[in-house]
Amino acid sequence: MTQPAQVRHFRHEALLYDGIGQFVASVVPFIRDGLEAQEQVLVVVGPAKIEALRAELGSDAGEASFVDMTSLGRNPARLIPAWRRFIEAAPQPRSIRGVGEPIYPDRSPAELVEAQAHETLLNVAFGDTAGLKLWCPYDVGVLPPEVVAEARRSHPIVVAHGGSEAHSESYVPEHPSPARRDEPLAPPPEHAREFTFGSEPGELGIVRGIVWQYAVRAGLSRVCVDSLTVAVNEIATNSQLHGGGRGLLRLWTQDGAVICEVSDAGQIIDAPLLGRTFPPMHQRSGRGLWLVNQLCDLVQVRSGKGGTVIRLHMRGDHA
Amino acid sequence: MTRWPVRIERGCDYVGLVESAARQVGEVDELCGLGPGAHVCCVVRTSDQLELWARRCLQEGALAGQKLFRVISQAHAPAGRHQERHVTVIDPATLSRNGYEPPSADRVFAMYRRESARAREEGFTGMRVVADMRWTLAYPALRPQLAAFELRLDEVIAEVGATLICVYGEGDHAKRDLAEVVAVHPLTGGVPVADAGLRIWNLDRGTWEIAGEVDESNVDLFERALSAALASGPVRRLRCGGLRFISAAGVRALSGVSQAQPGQAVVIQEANPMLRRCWTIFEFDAQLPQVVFEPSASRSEEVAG
Repeated sequence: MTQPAQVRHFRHEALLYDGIGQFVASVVPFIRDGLEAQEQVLVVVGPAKIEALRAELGSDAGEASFVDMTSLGRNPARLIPAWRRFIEAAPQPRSIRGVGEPIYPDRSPAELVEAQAHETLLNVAFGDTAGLKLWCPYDVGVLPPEVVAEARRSHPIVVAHGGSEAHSESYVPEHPSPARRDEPLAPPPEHAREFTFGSEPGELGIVRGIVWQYAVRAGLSRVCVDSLTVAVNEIATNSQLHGGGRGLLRLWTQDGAVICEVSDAGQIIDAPLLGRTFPPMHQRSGRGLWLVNQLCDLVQVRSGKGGTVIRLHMRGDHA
Repeated sequence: MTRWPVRIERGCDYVGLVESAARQVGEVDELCGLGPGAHVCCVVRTSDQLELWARRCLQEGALAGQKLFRVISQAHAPAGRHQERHVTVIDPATLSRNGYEPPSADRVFAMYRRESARAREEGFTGMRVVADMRWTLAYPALRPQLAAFELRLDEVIAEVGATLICVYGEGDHAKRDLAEVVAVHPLTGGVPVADAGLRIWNLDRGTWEIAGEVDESNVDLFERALSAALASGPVRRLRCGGLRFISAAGVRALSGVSQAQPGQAVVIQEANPMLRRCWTIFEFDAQLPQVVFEPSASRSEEVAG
């Protein structure tokens, strides 16, 4: 058996296509080439595209792995850990071909920014990973030009429909993510409810009670209510331990989602993959943000000299 | 008494029966109405209050046919007080190995087992003990271990069916320490003290009930209590039906304590869905196969059947 030829460096490439037809016409040969070279193939795209790819690949589809981006990547912070698991499970010498489309038109503005941050963080997370070639498709027919321009900044190589590759002249190796930590979030609405908390025993219980009641009244499912309560507890605990011992909780609803924001005086220093690295068994602390990313639909972290703001989004449609 | 079969689905081959004697749990007024197996943490404001309640409590024990004991150090024995008739006084110092080290937990537990058996041989229904816990003040090194000691003692009390009232002086211990010892007793009486937000007690041999909420404020207590609860026996069960909330640190504590007990299966019963979900998110289910979550539904069916 011939060993697959290993890509020497991480290849992070943006595929620019226009419409589902071009998507299938570009991605199917990419997948087939990988399968023929005995590479491990993972495709993380929306369900309609998975269906279209499977139909075109026919029996070859069984050799590749498909994951629904709208589920796994609902919170883009869950994508890097998923890629890492796939990479670690691959046989050596590692040769992996991936397709991941974290940016699609249904993303809310907040999700889009975090998905763009994910694209940038891929370079940080896998910059040293040999044997990984990842295509990130962008539908230029429906995505705003500025989103496509951002793709050119976060991907060193741009692939056009038809397969021609070109180095992106806009690529910035030390790319400042659009969701960089010092970039402020849009201010909360005026009707947001506010509660301050400190570090006295019982205060976390009060915070949990406030979140739980608010989420129930907002109509979230029981699973979502409990998940959000656990998540806010973790962030409020961080405020107690690392954020000056006190914090401000704000709650509001927006576009069917409950949003909980916790701000404090602490500062997160230089940890770009915080919450995206699986905490090993023996690790006593540092599990909170990992857990929060697994539980919430979107997590926005902003931190600077003025303090830290963490905004958690939870929609109510989880089973 | 309720009995239900415990099925361990993976991790070990043990299949057995848990017998759960109903234990008294909650608040008691003035140390009255206590049955066999009752283990009370009573916080008193004054020595007079202690003496009044202790007398009533021992009278109730006498009426119930129990052999009566008082555990009290010589230093705290009321001056000039005549020993009550039919009350055996135990000075904890006599349980010390050498007279100056604190009595070891194992010696204390052996005393309860021995005296309980002797009481029954003598025709009593069991033993009733009022323990003046001020003796612990003489051993500062004992302070951080007090909650774990009380928790293991709770298992012994449940096992021998004794009635034990542990009396703590409100002004003798730090508020946090009092909250911790209250948290490891199934029954509480006397002066209200700060609530640790958590309660853990022995339900039956090898089975522990956890109730309340675990977060940053009490996760250290939770971890120490779990370490004590899981310290021995091939299989330990944690009933978590009353555990309303557990933080990531609490889940980690549960995993860490379970990992520290090699060869011991830990069965978690009635876990709420979030505990189960967090356990899976941290991938402890793959790393700790000795920890088994017993499906709540199947247990309910088995109880009903």
